[in-house]
Amino acid sequence: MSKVVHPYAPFVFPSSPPLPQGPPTDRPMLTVRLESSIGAYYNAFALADSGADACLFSLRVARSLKLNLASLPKAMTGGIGNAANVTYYDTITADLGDGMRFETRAGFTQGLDQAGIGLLGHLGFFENYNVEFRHRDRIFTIESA
Amino acid sequence: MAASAAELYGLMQGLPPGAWVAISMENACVLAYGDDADAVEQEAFRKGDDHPLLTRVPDPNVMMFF
Repeated sequence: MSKVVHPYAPFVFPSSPPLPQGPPTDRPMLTVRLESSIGAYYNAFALADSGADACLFSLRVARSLKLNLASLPKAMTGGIGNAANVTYYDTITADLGDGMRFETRAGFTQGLDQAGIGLLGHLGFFENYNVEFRHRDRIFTIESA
Repeated sequence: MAASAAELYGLMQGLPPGAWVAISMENACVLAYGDDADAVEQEAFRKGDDHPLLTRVPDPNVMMFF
């Protein structure tokens, strides 16, 4: 069993009319090394997102992982601002470092191309690790079983 | 010791919002940035990093809701 404490990733934004104090941008971010079934790798930032059903990444990631989209099953993924996005699913391995590594079905969608980050969701991530958010302290903890 | 995600994320501070960025995880530095993800990735390869971390600079005009 291992337990790792991560600081939130800060990013300072200027104030804006809708949010005069600036948006709250400290985020529970990890780096993740993704590996496809054919051994292609991709390094990405990924947000620990308890609102995501599964781990999701952009279509740009799928291309670098050399996934054959035409051969993959797909489903629609909903979110704010989009009625739905086509999402392709494949089995990948995600390595979070510190010996934390899991295999999961992950989705790849154009809906995340603008964000440039991935989401670590329930399937694969939260189902395998205990994750504690201490937002006021700007840290989060991941504990493997 | 490898840089933390927070340290690597902070490297994007000051870069153009929305730009694609290639970051060296080994050296904790920005290798390239620009509007075209493929060009940014190729520049990182040219600089000798076969597996850069590729991401985008957060845009203050786009609130993220996942």
